[in-house]
Amino acid sequence: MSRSQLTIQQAARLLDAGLISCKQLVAYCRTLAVAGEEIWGLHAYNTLVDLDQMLDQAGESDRRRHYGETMSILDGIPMSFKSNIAVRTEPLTAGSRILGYHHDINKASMIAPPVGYDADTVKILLRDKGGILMGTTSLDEFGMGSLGTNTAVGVDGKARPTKNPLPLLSFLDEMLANAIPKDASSAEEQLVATLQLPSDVILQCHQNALQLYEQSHMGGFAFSAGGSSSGSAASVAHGSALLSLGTDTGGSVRLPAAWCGLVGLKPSYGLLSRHGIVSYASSFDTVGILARSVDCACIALDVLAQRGEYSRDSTFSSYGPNNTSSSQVAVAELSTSNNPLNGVKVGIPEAFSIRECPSDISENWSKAAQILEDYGAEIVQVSAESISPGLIQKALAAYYVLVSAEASSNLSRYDGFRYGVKANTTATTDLNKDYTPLEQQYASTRSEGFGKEVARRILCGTYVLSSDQFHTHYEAAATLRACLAEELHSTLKERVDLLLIPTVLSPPPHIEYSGTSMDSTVMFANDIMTTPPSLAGLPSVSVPMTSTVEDAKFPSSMQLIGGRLREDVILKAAHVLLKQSGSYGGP
Amino acid sequence: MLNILKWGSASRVPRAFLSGGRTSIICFQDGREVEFVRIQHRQLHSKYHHHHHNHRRCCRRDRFYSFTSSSAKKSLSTTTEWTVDGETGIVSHQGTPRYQTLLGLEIHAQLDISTKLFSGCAVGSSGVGSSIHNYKPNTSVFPLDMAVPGWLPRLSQEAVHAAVLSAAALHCVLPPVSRFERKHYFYADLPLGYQMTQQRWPLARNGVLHCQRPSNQKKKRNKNNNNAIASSSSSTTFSVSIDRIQLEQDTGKTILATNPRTQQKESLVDFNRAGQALIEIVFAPELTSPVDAATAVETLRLLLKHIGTCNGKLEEGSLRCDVNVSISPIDDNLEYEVSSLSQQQQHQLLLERAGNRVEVKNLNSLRQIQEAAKYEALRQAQAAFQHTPTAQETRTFDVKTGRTIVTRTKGGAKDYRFMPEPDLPPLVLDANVLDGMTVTEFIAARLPELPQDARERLQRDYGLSDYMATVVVGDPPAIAMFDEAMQVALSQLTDGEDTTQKQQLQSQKSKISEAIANLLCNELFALVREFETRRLIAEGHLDAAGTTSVQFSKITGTQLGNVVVLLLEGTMSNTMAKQLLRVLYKEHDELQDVEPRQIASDRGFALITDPAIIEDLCRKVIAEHTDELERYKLGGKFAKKITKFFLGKAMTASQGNAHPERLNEILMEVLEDIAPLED
Repeated sequence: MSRSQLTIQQAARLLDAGLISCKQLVAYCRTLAVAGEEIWGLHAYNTLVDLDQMLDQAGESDRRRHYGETMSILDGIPMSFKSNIAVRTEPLTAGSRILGYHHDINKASMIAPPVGYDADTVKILLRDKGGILMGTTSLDEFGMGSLGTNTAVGVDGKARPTKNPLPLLSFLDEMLANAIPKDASSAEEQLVATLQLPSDVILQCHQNALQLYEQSHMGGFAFSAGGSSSGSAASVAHGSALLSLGTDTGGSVRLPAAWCGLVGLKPSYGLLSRHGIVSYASSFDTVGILARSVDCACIALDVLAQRGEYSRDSTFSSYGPNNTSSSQVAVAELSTSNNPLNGVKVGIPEAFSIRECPSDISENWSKAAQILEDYGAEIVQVSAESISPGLIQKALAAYYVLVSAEASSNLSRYDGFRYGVKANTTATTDLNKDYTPLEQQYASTRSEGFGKEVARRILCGTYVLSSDQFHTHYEAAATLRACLAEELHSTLKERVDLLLIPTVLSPPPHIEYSGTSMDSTVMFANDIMTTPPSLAGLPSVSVPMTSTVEDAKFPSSMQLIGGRLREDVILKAAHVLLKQSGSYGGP
Repeated sequence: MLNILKWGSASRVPRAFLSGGRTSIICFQDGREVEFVRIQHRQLHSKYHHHHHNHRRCCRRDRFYSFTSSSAKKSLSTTTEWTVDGETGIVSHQGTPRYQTLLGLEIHAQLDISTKLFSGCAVGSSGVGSSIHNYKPNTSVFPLDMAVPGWLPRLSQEAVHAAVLSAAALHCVLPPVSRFERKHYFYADLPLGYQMTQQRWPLARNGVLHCQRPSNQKKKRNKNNNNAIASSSSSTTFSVSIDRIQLEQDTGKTILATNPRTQQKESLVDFNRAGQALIEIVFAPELTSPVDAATAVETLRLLLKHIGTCNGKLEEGSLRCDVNVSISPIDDNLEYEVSSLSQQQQHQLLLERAGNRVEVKNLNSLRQIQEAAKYEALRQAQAAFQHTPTAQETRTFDVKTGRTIVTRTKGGAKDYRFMPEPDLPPLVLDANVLDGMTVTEFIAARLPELPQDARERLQRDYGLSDYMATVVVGDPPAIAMFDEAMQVALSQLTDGEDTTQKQQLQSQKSKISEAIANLLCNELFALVREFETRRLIAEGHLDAAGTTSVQFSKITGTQLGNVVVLLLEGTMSNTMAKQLLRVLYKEHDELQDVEPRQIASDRGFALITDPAIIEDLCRKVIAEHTDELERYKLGGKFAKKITKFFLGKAMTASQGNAHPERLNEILMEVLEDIAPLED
């Protein structure tokens, strides 16, 4: 375990034991966030809450703890939210210029005002359970992208791709270890000493770590943190947030989790309320959880999955009144059992063994299967008859047709009239003369307001929904989705309890090369493993594992896919995998 | 520069989020300050006047010009030898029938419910005596109605209930599952950029609307019946099939205004209406007569009003009508073929041969429906006759000139890019949605007696005239009140007469029912309107038009029945009965527990029936008018005239309380006694 980051349980234990105060914890996390933004240039945050404001809330949390009135285990835990999730006090921009995103970490010059309401999920975490808001995190505009590079241009005219903090973390660890007093001997004492380091020392450690990294053999390359929940992943990986909510449409939580060495959970479609989420593709969008451990993810999931309660999302589905399946309980059972996965059937679907799969990923896949088998699971090969390779191969294309169609629809509300940014029409004389003035206003606002990738998907979606193309494209894709979903559902109902596949087939690319020159269809390939469960609305979790390649800089992550609303099963298996694969996040 | 949009108290979105700079405060003449989302006029002003209907100014102009349709008639007929018969829809050239008009209706009815369709935002329904029209612009708006990102639709069950009842009243088939879809187009009053509607899986299908032609129309129709292709039979009733009914959202309203500061024209958008629940009712193209089309709309309007799902105010836009018009040639061949075909087959043949269809949008009155259909039929006929047939297009009716104007051609047709609505699950009509009932149970429990049934029952059971039955049924709560009054009056007036012959009872019944209907329709409706208008004004609804529904009546059916008893047993005159009703209404708080008979005697509402008193009265009057008596004695027409004069004087002398028939009898006797006339 790297020194700079904590799990929720660790933090809660230190707080409950009075070894640190919430104020200290929050100050530490915020210093990490500031160091990450200003020294490392992670670009993880779009907005960062004022220190004073955070300390006020931390003070209240300390008071509650003092009087034994803590709201939950999450009371006083710093957390971050992707910028497409509504947080009352922050602007809701989805990282787009059309919603007033105009990057400046000092909110003073932010164009967009606070959105004024909390998403259902945010309300639970921050208002009901006592979580402390660090800030809102960066993302690919409207969640469209896999690398965290489709970001609107900042004030300085430069794009702000999110950087993967993993390569820097081992150096930071070293610096922090040297900075703490030598008399701290036990791991816990060292942790407390780290948390109590003065902020200038922490900043200096970051500075030194950066220097060491730049001198190292990696030469200071910046790597992608994965997208689209890039900032959420970077903030948790770095340690400035102990938990982050992202959104996962086709892998936007699992991919960045995989590349940043985190647990990334995409629950069943509809389990977490989408109220307060800037819609991208409504029939795919899910709120996802990014955390350092499976336990952390379980805590968040149990709190967020409101069983049968009121939700402001009509597609909401709870576990049902009779199902008490708590993922925390399921995971807790593990420690009391020698063969905790007894009776669990793990399917290895042949259809996902594609030619492009690199050998190290295949090796890791076998290793993961072995671990699960060691803990009592039965490994089952799922043949091409159950899940056909033909469907899996076409799944990515169907996915992009459908999400583009829904995106073109969901994004048609952004016209700059009611909120957001409106273009100045006088600058649009080159527009089509056949347009009415109103149409000209729409056209110029939308072409100025949307980034390239967003515009591309809107155009693509408009095309596939047009009456000429609807049957050949949209309907064909919807049919394929239905067939694939049927195959996955029946396999997970009748043959196996979960499916084990890799999360992604390649390590994070250098971001200097991406974004600018990378073909967007090549970027789509990053989603090839994550889109099938999204098409079927199934729960899926990405777990980081130590790569079998020696000296690997990034973990190699596996993905566990479960039946609908069977988060408990996949989290149990994920817990075993994470525990047994050794540490992650650098040597 | 940054004016703040006033935001409904129910909304939790801060004003600042809704961008400043694009709102403005408009001062109306009465000093009200109203805030709109402002759009430069030139931005909205399009070459084709898209969505012309949404401009309130047009509505005002409609109202203002609604009586000047004579100019419209001129433009239809004077320039050519072409004529169109409004009754049959036959277009003739120099008297020879050439084309048959074919009409289809599409009606948007705003559901009269307490919230919007998906946002939960309150909109006053007519049940509380106020409506959304009383709200200031952009105050009855929830975040979803402004398409604030992150807000998702939640279907109003009340809307589903109202839609199901409407469909049931139109005898539709209700599939167990219907689905919502998105219909995309960009316009300033459509905040989401799409309308949530139903397309491929509508709420209801295959209904029928039974209509009754107004009686004066029937005579004319019979006269014209010698025509071979006369569309439908000469009967007083006709039916139109309903193709489908779908639930959907309304749009906001665009209002043309002049900026008081810059004097520039601009379009203002009011989102109060955005997201309100509508049902779209699509008729099969079975109508051939413009007059019948108007009758069908009126019948539908009354039907929805009757079952309480739409307040049916055409002028306020709570019921909006589009009419599809096409023409089909009538030639000698066709006439030959037709003779052997059934009416349905004839119509099918006409449809197959029909020219391009034109949709005329947003007609705000029954007259406009007829005028627009006739104008279109003539326009299309002339063009077809000259071998330059008209194109498929969308048009709007200009009330001022009585012409239709192109708003969109087929080439410019929009591709609405329909897509299944992913934010809403399919609508399943089951116990979860229908208050624990199945569709059949729900309809049985909640659908009131339909107007046609009620009308027939009132005539059959009580012997009420067709006209009076129609008036009573026109206000659904009046039916219940009528039934109650009838019961009370019947039990008192026919008490102890069980040996009476059936026929006698029946005539007694129709006497009672006419008396009740008379007081109800002529007096009570007027009282309700008078007092409700007063109340609304007192409550600050300055533009309150009041209401005539006895739903708001302070008088109960029992009281009404008791008053009728007093009237029919001869205790009171008609005038007294009216006065008594007013007293009961005005002082209902104090008098609601007092027997009307008691009040009548307390307040002196009693007829003088004593012959001695009446005779006295007559003799006195005659004695006071000796000149007139002399003229009476001349006999002939003088006698008749003077008798009337005496009658009037005597009635005045009795302060209107003399029993009219008695007075008449006794006066004649007295005159005979004083001045017997020779034959």
